Parts: sequence; structure tokens; C-alpha cells
Amino acid sequence: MKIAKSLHHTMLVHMKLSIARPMFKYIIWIMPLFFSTIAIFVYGTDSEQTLLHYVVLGSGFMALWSSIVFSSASDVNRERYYGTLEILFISPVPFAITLIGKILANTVWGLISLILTFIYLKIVFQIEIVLYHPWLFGLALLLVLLTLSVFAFFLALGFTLSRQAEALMNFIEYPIYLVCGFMFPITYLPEWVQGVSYILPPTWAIQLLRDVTAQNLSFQSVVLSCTAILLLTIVYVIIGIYCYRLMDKKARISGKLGVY
Amino acid sequence: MEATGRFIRHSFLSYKALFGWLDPKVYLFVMVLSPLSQLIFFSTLVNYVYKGENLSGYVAANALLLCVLNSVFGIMSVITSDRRTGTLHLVMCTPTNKFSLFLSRSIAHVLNGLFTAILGLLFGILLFDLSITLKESLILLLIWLCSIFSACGLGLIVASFCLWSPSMHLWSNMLASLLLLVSGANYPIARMPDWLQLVGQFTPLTRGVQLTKDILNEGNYSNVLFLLGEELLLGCIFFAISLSLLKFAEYQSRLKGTMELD
Repeated sequence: MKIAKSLHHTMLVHMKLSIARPMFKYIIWIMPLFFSTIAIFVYGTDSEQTLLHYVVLGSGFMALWSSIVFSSASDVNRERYYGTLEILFISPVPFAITLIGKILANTVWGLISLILTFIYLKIVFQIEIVLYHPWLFGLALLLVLLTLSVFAFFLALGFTLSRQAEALMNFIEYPIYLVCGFMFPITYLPEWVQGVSYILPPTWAIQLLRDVTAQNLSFQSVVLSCTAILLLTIVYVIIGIYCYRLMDKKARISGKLGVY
Repeated sequence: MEATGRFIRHSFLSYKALFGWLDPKVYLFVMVLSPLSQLIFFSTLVNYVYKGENLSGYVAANALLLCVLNSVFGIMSVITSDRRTGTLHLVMCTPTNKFSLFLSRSIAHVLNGLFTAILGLLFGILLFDLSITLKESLILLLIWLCSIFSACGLGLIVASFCLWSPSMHLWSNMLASLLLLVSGANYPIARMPDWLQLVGQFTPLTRGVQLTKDILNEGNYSNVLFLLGEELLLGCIFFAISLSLLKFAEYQSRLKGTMELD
């Protein structure tokens, strides 16, 4: 119960702290509009289905991803910069809970950004956003948020261990857009790149959203995407736990957690 | 002669101070791999959507857009890095001419921006198996130099906000996104609404992108002189505005005590 309360409290505090930063406001409110505008200009007057899958979902997903990667990853670095990382680390609430609370807060903001993208494209560019299976879409979205949160946890731990967090964070933005096929199908990429795409949760997450928004729903495709997401989520949870223990051990032995 | 030597020396030292402390790995990530990944993403996107049509122009236009990293973020860091290290007030109170000082600091970023754009183009040529003649390359080099100069001018205008605004990441990202949007690097400019095309006329890189696409896709050189002149003029106007803004921002920062805000 105490853990749930801490998680809830961390989430609320982090949501308020994040949105107070001008750069985060830009990521949530403005950047999605730029990306979705560029996407609609590139695709022009393509078919409704293409616009929905690669412009609406693609740019919406970019907004969600940016919120998660730019925040969850940089939050650890920010705490390090402020000198509060060690305090969070040794507080009675497990550091993992604090981290999960921050990730959930960023995920909520990312979801708001995704919805904003949908509304913007619908109102300004008059794109038809028809959800043929709204309940299925809702469930798929929950699964997508879960897997992205787990992946963000893994990334945040990676960045906690690395002193080059900021450089890495800025670097992985476009490669993920590219490799995970946010704005075009991954089948268009070379085969060896597709191999990398398949082990990254965002690839399956956006594929699932495309599957459940297709006019002719393919049950087989939905099951395949769901299975891949669940399997990858389990794998990244295991890797996340391993990284957490590694970070915990390394921080205590070397005492360099807060070294910037 | 001595003044010119000092100007060049200052430009080199400022650039060296900015990147000298960095780990080569970080430099590689930020200044090489990150822009190249942006180039691959947009080039792959346009290649998929337009089915390879006019690909050379789009790849080269995206390579030119990579200069934003220097012309916006690099120029901004000329001022923010001084603020971070606590030396900004020393720089601002020196009797040296501020315009000459900031212009000399910008030169290295113009050259670095050109280098990044050329690197991007070479990478794009290799990746997408494109061919560009020597004549086209030389003219592009001249066009890009003017465009990057102009972009650095606008970058310096935004960098001057640094003296009174603590939200520099916001300003710089906003400008970078705006340049990506209105330059038309990834779509025909006619796809944008009229008012956005008009905005593009007052921003740098739009003419550079148009000339790059004209030359590589259509072999059309008829607009080079006119648009190049406009781009150069725009750059000079931007640098002139940045001079006035720097003076105003300096005054504002003294008044509000915001020079050291981060």
C-alpha cells in the first residue's frame, strides 16, 4: 500500500515538475505539431488508410516516444546534475519505484501529446480518423503503453550507468524512428536492419496500433503483434531487473553514482 | 593584418574551447552519427513515399539541413557555454567590439556546418547510390556556404535571447524545427499553405534547398545568381539584426540581472 502511495505521489509530483520545464512543454505541445505537419506534407493526398497509419499514428507515436525517451532517460541525468540522485537512491522508497513513477508520469504526458497530434491532424488537416474497433484500439494502446514503459525503464537504467547519457539520448531519437518504422513499413528497410527492428518493442507497438486500426482486421496479425509485445516485455523486464541490480551494486562499490 | 589574425585566432580558440573538453565518443555521437541518422531517416522516408523520384535533390537538401546543428545549436552554445562556465559577464564587459567578437566565434560554426553538410551528402551518395558531377558539387558548395552563413545569422539572433531568457533549449529547438518545416527539404514547396511559404521566404536555407533541388533534379541553374544574392543579403540582414539585438539583450540582462541565469 505504501509503495502504491509513493508511486502515485512520485507520478503526480513528476508530472508537475516536468511540465514546468519549457523544453518539456515544447516536446509535449509543440514538437508533435511540427512532426505531424512535416509528415502530412510528405504524404500529401495519399489514401485515408496510409495517412492514418503513417501520418496520424506515425507522428503521434513519435510524440509518445520522444516524451518517454527524452524525459525518462534525461530525468536520471537531471537528478545527477542537481545532486539529488544519491538522495533518491538511498531513500526508504526503492529507487526502482521512484523511477517507475517518473516513467509513468512521462507516459501520461506522452499519451496526452499523442491525443493532441490526433486532434491537430483531424481539425487542421481534416484527416479522417476512423477507429473501426475502438475497444480493441483501447486495449492495444494499454499494451503499447506498458511495453514502452518497460523499455523506458531499461533505457533509464542504461543511462544511469552511463555518463554519456545526454549524447546517447540525443543520438537514439532518429535511429529509433527509422528502425522501428514509425513513418513507413519496416519491410522497406534492408533485411539486416529488420532483424534489429524486431527486437525493439516500439516496432511491434506501432505495428499493433496499425493492425487494430485497419479496416480489414487481420486477427492473425493482431495475435502475432500482441505475442511479440508480451514476449519482448518479459525479456526487457528481466534485463531491466538485471541492470537495476548491476547499477545498485556498481553504485555502492564505486560510489560514483552522482559523478557528473 | 594584426586584427585579422586576432579575429581568426579568436574563432579557432572559441571553437576549440567548446569542443576541446569533450570525449571524442561524444563528439562522434553528437556531431557525426546524430546528423547522419537524421539524414538517413528523412531520405528513407522520401525515398519510400516518392518511390525514388528526385531522390538526389531530397538527399542533398537533407544534407544541407544538417548544418542546423551548427548554425542553431552551435551558435547558441557560443553564448550558453560562457554562461554555464560563469565567464559570460566577463565576455560582455570587455571593451572589445561585441559584433566582431561574436562574428569571429560564428565563423568556425559556418565551416563546421559546411563540413557536416558535405559529410551528409557523401554519406547519402554512398548509401543511396547517387551520382553528382564535379560542376554540380562546386556550385552546391558555394550555395551551401551562403545558406549556412545566413542560417548562422539567424542562429545568432536566437542566441542573443540567451542574455535575457533561460529557456534556450526551447528557442533553439523551435528554430531548428521551423527550418526543417519551411525549407521544403522533404516535399515540394507548393504543398505548404501560402502563409507558410511566405514564412519560408524570410528564413534561411529555403533558397539553398530550392537551388539544391533545382540543380540536382532538373539541372536548372537559371535561379542561382538571383537566389544566392537573396540568401546572402538575408544573412547580412540577420547578422545586422543580431548586432542590435545583442546590444538590446545586453541592456536587458543588466537591467533584469538575467545574464547568469541557466
